[in-house]
Amino acid sequence: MLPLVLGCGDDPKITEIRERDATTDFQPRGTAERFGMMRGGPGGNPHAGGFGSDAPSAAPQFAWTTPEGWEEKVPPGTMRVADFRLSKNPEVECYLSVVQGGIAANVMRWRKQMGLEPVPPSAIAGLPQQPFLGQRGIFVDLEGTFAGMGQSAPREGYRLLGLLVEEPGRTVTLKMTGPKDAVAGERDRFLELAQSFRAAEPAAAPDDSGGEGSLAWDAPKEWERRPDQQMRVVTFAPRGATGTECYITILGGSGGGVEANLNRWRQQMGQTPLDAAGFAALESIQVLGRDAKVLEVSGDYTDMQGNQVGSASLLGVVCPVEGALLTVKMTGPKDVIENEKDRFLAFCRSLRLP
Amino acid sequence: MKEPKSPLSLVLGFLGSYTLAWMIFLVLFALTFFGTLEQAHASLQDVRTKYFDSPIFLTEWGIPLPGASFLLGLLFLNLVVGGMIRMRRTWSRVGIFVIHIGIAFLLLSGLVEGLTSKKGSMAVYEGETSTEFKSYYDWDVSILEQLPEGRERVYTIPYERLPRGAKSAVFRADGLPFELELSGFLRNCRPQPVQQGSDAVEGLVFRELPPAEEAENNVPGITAKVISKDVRREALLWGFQQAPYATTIDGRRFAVDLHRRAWPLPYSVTLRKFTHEEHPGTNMPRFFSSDITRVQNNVATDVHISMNDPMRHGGYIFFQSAWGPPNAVPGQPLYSVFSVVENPADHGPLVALIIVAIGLLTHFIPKLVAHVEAEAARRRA
Repeated sequence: MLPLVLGCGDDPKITEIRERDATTDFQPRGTAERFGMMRGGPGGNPHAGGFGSDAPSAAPQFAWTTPEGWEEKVPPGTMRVADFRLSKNPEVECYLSVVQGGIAANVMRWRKQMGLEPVPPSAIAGLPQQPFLGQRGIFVDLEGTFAGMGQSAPREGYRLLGLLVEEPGRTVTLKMTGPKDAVAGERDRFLELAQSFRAAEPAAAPDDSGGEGSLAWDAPKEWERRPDQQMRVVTFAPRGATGTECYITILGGSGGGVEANLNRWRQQMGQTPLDAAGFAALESIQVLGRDAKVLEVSGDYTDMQGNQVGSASLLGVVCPVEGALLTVKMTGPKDVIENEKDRFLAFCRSLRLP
Repeated sequence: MKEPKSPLSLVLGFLGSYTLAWMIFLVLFALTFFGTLEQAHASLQDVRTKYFDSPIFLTEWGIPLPGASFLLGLLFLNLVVGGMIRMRRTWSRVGIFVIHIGIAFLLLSGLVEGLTSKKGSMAVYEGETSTEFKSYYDWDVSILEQLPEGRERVYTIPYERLPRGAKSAVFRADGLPFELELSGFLRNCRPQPVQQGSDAVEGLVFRELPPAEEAENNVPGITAKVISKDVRREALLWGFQQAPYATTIDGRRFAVDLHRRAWPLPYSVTLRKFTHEEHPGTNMPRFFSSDITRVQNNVATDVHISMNDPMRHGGYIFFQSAWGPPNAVPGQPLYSVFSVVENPADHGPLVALIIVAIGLLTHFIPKLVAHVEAEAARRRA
């Protein structure tokens, strides 16, 4: 047993001290990474904090805007990142989850919960899409007899609306269930909520000294600095330009990896992921003394807030650095980006540690 | 003319009176009634703490009531004084006396359980081994120092000493090259990015959430400041963090963690196989069980634990309580969850019931014999 001697009152002395075999990770990490808020961050300590019906997993975080007439509830477990009820009919529930398995497996699971037969993968591929988490989410609309987790009895006349996006190592789902008439009346607000979801990826602190001042650059004189934003080290844009911006982020750990981030950007532009040959063919430049891949892609851009921009281009550079992943991304109208490409590359090459 | 009673005699008279007993039972009934109503929309743990641990409290409807622990203590005194000390000691009352002993023993068992029992949970995936279980409700802050040869030193600040509300508290220990200031404790919260804010740490603040419907689902947060003569560093600690805050002071590596209190077991538990079945066509669990291997003193024992068949060993009881993840897709690894209880008074209620049964038999069997004999005599007459 531990020697337990509790202090009294405001005694500041710590008296419960013992030694044991090391189990602790002493690697400095940014707060967002420690909290499991980084995409593709550490796989998660399966026993962090939780147990019981609350899955012992990390709780990736997102930001969102709760629709009018809905109430945000305390998620009953860590599988649910956000949990909502319809104020006037609590039987209608909606929640955001981060789960394992791909889109097809989760759609099949939902169909089973609604008492519906499985469908072939081709049917899933043909499902409609809606903006979700800054991407094009697979939209599911099912009616049937609902028998979800913990339901005391199957409920007839139910409807399920769902959105899914697949990311490296996880699938993010937004699901609403309830009596079909009530759900039908909330469909638009469900899609509004889906569009409002955005990843919250604050800059990680790479070490004890803090993130500020840990990176220096030479910005083109044709650019101007824009107001700082969360999750970004710095934001620039061509002077007077609207709809164009260039910004740097630093993701903790592997940050999901180079390929996953480049493919995420391609998906934001409505393009298919690159295969190994495609990656190998990408141009490289020197950033912070390392080879960094350069992505240039055009298409219809869906930003992190779900806003869609037609005929856009994206320039991106991803550079793994020690204990973090640095990304530089520029988006805007295609013709503007073409004009800015050389300045963008010069900006990336100018990055240095002070 | 009767002599006036002494104050002590009056007090003992009241303490051992039927009047007091009835008053206690009536108030206990009221506690049960209002507590049940309040439980409908508050966590069981919160209601239990309020109704048991407070000497006096206001119900949700503004009615002042004494706490159950206080009342049960009073009931114990009432039993001892009225049923054991002041009761006339005759052979015909031996049974009643034993019954009172049994009930007093039951109350004492409850006291021992309340003061010493540990209740928590253990979650293990198939193939994993655990040697500890974690508290449902208590979260400690620990400072960990990396030592040579794969060891670490742990300085623990127990949950009971964490500053609450707007308070902050500074902690220090011999051998630590810094002080740890803790503040801003929130019982249930989640981190949230912010654009700006003086309270933000690396762009994050804790957003307070209302208490969870089940108290074990609360996820606390607290702000920690590491303060030495050269350094002042701030970190957020969150119950669901995947890694502790790590820092280096004077060339020594430290971590600060907020974690559920963990209690070591005298043996290891390895989950060999988890089995579950669902009701056909639903996700409702029909049956689930775990096959574990318990290893103590190099002796391995295979045990099967299911929903109504717990494992009792070494003063601990393992109940099969849950499994997960709740939204697991086919093929995803599952974990099994055991409720673990260490209760020195585990057998108290059984012993108390046996004593009460002996008392009842002692009291009523002679009466039955006397009744039968009287009936026989009446018939003979």
